[in-house]
Amino acid sequence: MPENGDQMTENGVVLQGDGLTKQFRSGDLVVDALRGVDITIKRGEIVAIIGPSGSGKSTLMGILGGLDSLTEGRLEVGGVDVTSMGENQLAEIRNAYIGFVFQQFNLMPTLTAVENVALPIQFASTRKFNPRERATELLTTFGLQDRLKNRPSQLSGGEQQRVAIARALANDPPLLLCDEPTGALDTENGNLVLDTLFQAQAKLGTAVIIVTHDPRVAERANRTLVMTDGRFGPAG
Amino acid sequence: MERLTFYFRNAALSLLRARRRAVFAVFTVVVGVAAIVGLQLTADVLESSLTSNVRTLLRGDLAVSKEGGETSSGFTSEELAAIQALEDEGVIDGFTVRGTPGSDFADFAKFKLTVVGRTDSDAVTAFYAPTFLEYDVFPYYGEVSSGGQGLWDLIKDEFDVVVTSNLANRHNIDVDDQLKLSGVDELFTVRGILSSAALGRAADPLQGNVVFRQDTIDRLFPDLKDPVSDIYILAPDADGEQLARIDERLEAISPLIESTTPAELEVSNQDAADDLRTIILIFGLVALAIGGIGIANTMQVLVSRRLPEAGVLKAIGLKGRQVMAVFLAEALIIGVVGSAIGVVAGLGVSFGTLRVMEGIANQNLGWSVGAGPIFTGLIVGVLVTLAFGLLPTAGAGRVRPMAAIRPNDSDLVKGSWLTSTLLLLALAAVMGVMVGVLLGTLQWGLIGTLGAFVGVGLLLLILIGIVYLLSRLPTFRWLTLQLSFLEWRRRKARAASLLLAMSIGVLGIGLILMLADTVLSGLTNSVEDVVGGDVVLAVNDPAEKEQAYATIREADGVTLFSPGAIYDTRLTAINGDPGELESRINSAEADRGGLDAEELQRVEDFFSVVNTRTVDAALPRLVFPSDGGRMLDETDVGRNTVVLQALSEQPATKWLALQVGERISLQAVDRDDRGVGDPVEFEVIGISSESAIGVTVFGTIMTANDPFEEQGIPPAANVAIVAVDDAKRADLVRDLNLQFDSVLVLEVAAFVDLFAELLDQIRIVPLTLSGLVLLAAVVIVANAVALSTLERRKEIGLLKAVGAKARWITVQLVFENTLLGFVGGLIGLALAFGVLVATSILMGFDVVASPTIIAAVLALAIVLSATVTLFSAVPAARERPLDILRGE
Ligand SMILES: Nc1ncnc2c1ncn2[C@@H]1O[C@H](COP(=O)(O)OP(=O)(O)OP(=O)(O)O)[C@@H](O)[C@H]1O
Ligand SMILES: [Mg+2]
Repeated sequence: MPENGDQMTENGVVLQGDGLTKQFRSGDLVVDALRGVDITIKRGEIVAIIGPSGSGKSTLMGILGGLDSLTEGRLEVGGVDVTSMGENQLAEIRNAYIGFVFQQFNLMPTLTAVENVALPIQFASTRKFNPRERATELLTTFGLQDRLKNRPSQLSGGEQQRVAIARALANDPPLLLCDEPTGALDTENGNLVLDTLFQAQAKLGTAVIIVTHDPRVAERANRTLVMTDGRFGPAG
Repeated sequence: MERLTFYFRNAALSLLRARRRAVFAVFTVVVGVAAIVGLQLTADVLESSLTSNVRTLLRGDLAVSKEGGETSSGFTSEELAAIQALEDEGVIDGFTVRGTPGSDFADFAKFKLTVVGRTDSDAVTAFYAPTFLEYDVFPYYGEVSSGGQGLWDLIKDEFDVVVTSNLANRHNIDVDDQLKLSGVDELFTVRGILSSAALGRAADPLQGNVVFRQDTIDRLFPDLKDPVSDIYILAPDADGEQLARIDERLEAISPLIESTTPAELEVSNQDAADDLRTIILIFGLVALAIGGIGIANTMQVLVSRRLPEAGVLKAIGLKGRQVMAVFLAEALIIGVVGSAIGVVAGLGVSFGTLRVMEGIANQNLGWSVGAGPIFTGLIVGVLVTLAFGLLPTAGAGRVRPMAAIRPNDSDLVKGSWLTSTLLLLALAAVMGVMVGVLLGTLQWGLIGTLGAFVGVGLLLLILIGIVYLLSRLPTFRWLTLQLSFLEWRRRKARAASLLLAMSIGVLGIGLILMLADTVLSGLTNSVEDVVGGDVVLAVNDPAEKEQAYATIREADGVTLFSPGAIYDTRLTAINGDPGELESRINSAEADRGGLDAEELQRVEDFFSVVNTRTVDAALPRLVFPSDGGRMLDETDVGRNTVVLQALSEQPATKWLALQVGERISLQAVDRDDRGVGDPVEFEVIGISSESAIGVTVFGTIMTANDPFEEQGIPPAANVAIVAVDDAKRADLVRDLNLQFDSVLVLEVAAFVDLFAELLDQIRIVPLTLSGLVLLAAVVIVANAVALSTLERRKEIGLLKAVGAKARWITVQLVFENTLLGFVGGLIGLALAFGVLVATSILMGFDVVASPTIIAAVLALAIVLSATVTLFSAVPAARERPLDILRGE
């Protein structure tokens, strides 16, 4: 298992997926959600994924982030094959190497902004930061220094999503997975969130995969992948 | 440390967020722990009061009583003389007695009590236990006192009495009131009100006591029939061995004499306490198990609602067991809080239970709190909560991380039969060990618990079958019903568990209510059948007879007046031959070589009273077997024929092999059992079969002739049965009682009321406990409904999106679950009925299914289910469709 972010990006490849296939089966019904996706993500790169609803974008994000298992194919995160890893190892990979940003923010409702951000650090197997200091620092950079002690219910959607981004970045992971991060926000807040995201990305050099329906996001990406029917089609 | 803080802070705050659910969960733990702690404390107090100070319990160094048949008889003068001889011999230092008029109806009538100066219907009673105690001697051990004053400080004068509080309350008797006994000119003065517990063994919990000075009673009523019912022996210097020898000598006086030494009492009380403890503990454990199921299913709700949250935790890198710990911390908090409150509630339960028991058992029990039960309660409460919380929280640990992205999927938890089964086994093992430790036998604890798990599992399977069958019933194209049945079929297991909870909840309450009702109505029916009127009366002074009878005949509302008399008698011969009687006694129970002393006593009792009757509607409605002959009728007037009323399954008539058509000779006796006049030969024309609850007022032998009067022998009492219109009855009874000093007039219903009162007292404790269990069951139902609405959020959202109104959805949900609650109630009642029938077969009485009780219990089940469903369904139906469909 890789020991830290720097080592794993030796050859500049953060994530490599070959022939990623996912089938859902319920009774006789088989849904081919992913039909052999190949994907390589390099360090610091911003990749946008667009595509019609139901084309498999979220499924792919789940697979890439080690949230779901593959039906077929092979996945390496930071040069390590995670395809057949056990639950607990996967949890450690998620904690150290991958940050998630969801459409619905998904903050812990009982915890304050700082505590939410500190949580992944508290559960890290090897700790790189002091949880509180790191959380405060990240939130301050995101302009939330006045909101540190607020609970999610006391924050606006945009603010919640920025806290969520800070949480995703807490352990300084090499890869950030965002599934429609602005999907639940109005344009103004959406833009603010995107600004925060790209700003942090520039500063930390994190690779970002971002699923979006928003063409403006695609503009700011290094590349844009179009997903249709469980496959990547031609760009554009 | 940081993680630990996170677990508990998060848990506490999450519980606060889900406040109502958390209160439910805590409540179910409270019920279980309160039952365990309360019942154990009660058992401890009972045990110590039963086994310490046994001399105080005995009221002497030995206590002697006499075993009787149906009609218990007191000590005879010969027996008393034999005990006096022991004192003269120096074997014992002394003895004192408790006297009562016994069960002799004529004696009973003599103690008609009137509160002087009052004219209300409560002013007169005979339903109390006149208790005669030796002045300044009773009791040898322990003290009888009221308000700091001892019994003989209160009773000084010859005509002083004290009254127990149950009697005083029923008849509004106060200190300084004056009481009049029939035929006694002097008035008695009430000097104190005793708690009935203060009298201990001498107390009558059903009727209450009036304590008289024995010397006064001896002087006023020299003719009472064997009035000594208990004897207390003084032998303070005797050691255990000597006491055992005294015990032997006392019991050698007569086989019917039963003497108890402190050692014997200690052993039998210890046995009783042990049995009681086991029963109590099993009850507590059942309550705890129901509490545990409540926890499991509340945790299930708490966890199910937050599975997406669990998925997020996994997404940010928490491992399965860490996610599980997040939720287990909540169970732990619920367990600790619930157990703490449960312990406090348990203290209350034990206090209340003991007060009720004091009333029933006539003993001051006190109240003490040991650390043991409290400690056990805390540990057991927390353990059970954790154990039952394990299954649902393990589910949170197994949540698919994808739940973070797709929170609305139906299979958020990775199913694992293996894990679930293993967890269940582990749960059963933990519970088994715990139960084993509590019961003191590990083996049986484990077997019993495993058995209970399997039993519940089987029951669930059966209920699933029932749910399936019910859902196939015709729906008459009624949409609401169709949808309900569809839903039942879809979630059979949940519907079945709801049925289980509701039926068990209803079972306890239903059973207790139905049992009490059955016993009471059985008694009422037997009394009505046997008495044949609603008022009975006895005349002590023949001088008042004619005038009293005339008054009754002329009174408004009297529909029947049936006079008669009772004579004290004894059986002298069968078919005219004393030898025949002798040989029948000797050949009865031949394998044992004749009747034993107790059986002989019962034979004697059976023939000890003859009741002369008028042939009319007041004759009892007895049941006669095919060879049992018939009731008295017109043809018997003036003839020496008798009907014998069997009271038990083993009546004297069977021992004597008496047949219809045979003749028995009965001789009148005086109060000392000496024969007066000549024996009279009667032909037996009817022998009734035993009735379930044997009741007789005027003895077991009836005739329509009065041959004793012809011999000039006065009756023990003149008696009569009267039927009066309901509206006039109370007034007539009161007026007669007040007008005629020697006439005792009793409403038959008053006796049944007395019994009903006692029954009410006895059932308070089980009723309260089963009420709590029902509430816990309702919590389980509420949780089941919450779970099903949770699972159907999407469906509900869709329904609303296509235009269904919130009200329609609420109605659908309420209907569905209330119907289930109703069916659960039915099943519970059916189970209760089954238990009742089984009991009735064992104990031999007719089961009564009171429509009122059935309707009330069903209504309760319906109202409770509807309420808790509303509770869960209204918020679900109100949710905005958008929120649901987006997976908020
Ligand atoms: N757990 C599952 N079981 C069955 N089918 C599933 C499951 N998860 C996804 N699918 C199916 O896989 C396909 C891809 O779904 P996915 O959520 O990845 O699409 P998407 O591109 O993210 O769509 P959207 O833009 O609406 O979010 C869909 O047809 C979906 O119904
Ligand atoms: Mg999606």
